[in-house]
Amino acid sequence: MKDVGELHFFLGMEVERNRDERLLHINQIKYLKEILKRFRMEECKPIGVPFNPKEKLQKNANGNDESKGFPYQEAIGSLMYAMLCTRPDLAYPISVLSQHMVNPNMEHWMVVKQIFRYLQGTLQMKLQFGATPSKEMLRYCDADWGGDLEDRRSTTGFVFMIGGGAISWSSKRQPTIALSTMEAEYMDNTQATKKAIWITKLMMDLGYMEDKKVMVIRCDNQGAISLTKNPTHHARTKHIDVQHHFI
Amino acid sequence: MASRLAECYQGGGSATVAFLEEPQNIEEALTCENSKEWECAMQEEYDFLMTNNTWILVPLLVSRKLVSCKWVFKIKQGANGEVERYKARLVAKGFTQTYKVDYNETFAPVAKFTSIRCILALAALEDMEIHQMDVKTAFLNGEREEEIYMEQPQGFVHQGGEHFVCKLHKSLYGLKQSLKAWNQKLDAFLKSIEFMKGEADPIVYVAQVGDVKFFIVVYVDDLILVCNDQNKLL
Repeated sequence: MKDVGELHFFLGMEVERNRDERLLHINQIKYLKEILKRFRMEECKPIGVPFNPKEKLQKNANGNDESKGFPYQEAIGSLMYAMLCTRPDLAYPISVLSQHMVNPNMEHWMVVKQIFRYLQGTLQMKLQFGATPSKEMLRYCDADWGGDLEDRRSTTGFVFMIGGGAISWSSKRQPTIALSTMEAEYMDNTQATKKAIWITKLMMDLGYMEDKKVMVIRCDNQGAISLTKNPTHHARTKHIDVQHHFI
Repeated sequence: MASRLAECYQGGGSATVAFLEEPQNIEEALTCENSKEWECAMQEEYDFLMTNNTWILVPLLVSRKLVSCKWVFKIKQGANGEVERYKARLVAKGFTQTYKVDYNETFAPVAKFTSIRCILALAALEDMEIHQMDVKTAFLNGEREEEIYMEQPQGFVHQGGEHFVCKLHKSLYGLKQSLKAWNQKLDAFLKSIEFMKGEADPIVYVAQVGDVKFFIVVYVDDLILVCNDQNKLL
């Protein structure tokens, strides 16, 4: 075993530090350039958004296998690695595109290309840690409602941050259909809470306990918040699954 | 040879690519123009395996299906595309192993990205030292639990002992349980130097001596070591 000095590269992530200002950046510029090259997108024109949320991708209806012409799965896989390491901004588009792994058509492929173009424009973006000097974890969660046009399931998302940098994120289609925005957000809270408990455990392992006894998850739906505080049953909530009362 | 190399350095570009073809098997390696280097590399690896006590030769008494193996050749390139070294590695063909006979458990944990980022964030906030550690030939260190018999490597078949087989003592690249064996070895080592395994992520190790904290995150054979005192680094 040998010490090879300060950390610079780890699993394709480049780590930069600014000790004077207590900042740490991680980026994947090298990896991103590599995948742009692999998919022949190294000279594409940059754009500002990875995915238009108004654009609803549909299943490939006519059933023709058009995927022969383009390496859809490979591209998603490569993008997913970037997403998991340093790019929370890709979590939503990747989760949507991954739902069409089996039978993609030209429309889906255009979105993949759009993500590559977005990456081209944002190659230099890094995750920054240490900007806010507090060790308290900030947790945010949100959900849309019935965002999937085919089965009307909602999408859940959350981000947890420490020291001004995101450490954990997720964007996922919910397993069941929510009948109201409150329900969607309530399910979302459950997902976020599960993850939050795990991370709190990890922090405890590392010897960092939060001062407060409660975990704060920031959520923007009044209905869901009051249901969390007082899970009484009444006509509109009595069907909510046991699982979601976890919080 | 030397002139060819020099030519390739100056020629750059396509010449380099054409020149750097890697042989796919031992026959190709021994007949291609760099056969000397490849032979050297193989000898080096073989010698290492021997000094590492990786296997002993035994006559095969029970009737067992042997695990086969092959040589893999790789040219290590430096940052500028120059040839750094020729490397040969003996790998076992894990897919020829039989469940319950040659292997049982194969699971080994790796660090989650969340844990890595979490620790990096804390290190940034507390201005801790972050160092990277590297383990040479990590997998070869693992000790095997099961009895594995492997055929003798091509090109190094013992003279007069052609019917002998290799009984493995240590792990080899390509075996199904290599990762687990390495992980156990590392786990035992870290525990012996007073590191505690994390409960949430079993591959994050923590140690505390007075005010000095150490974290270690393991990703197969890459380790990140985080410490809040520069002078106390291992």
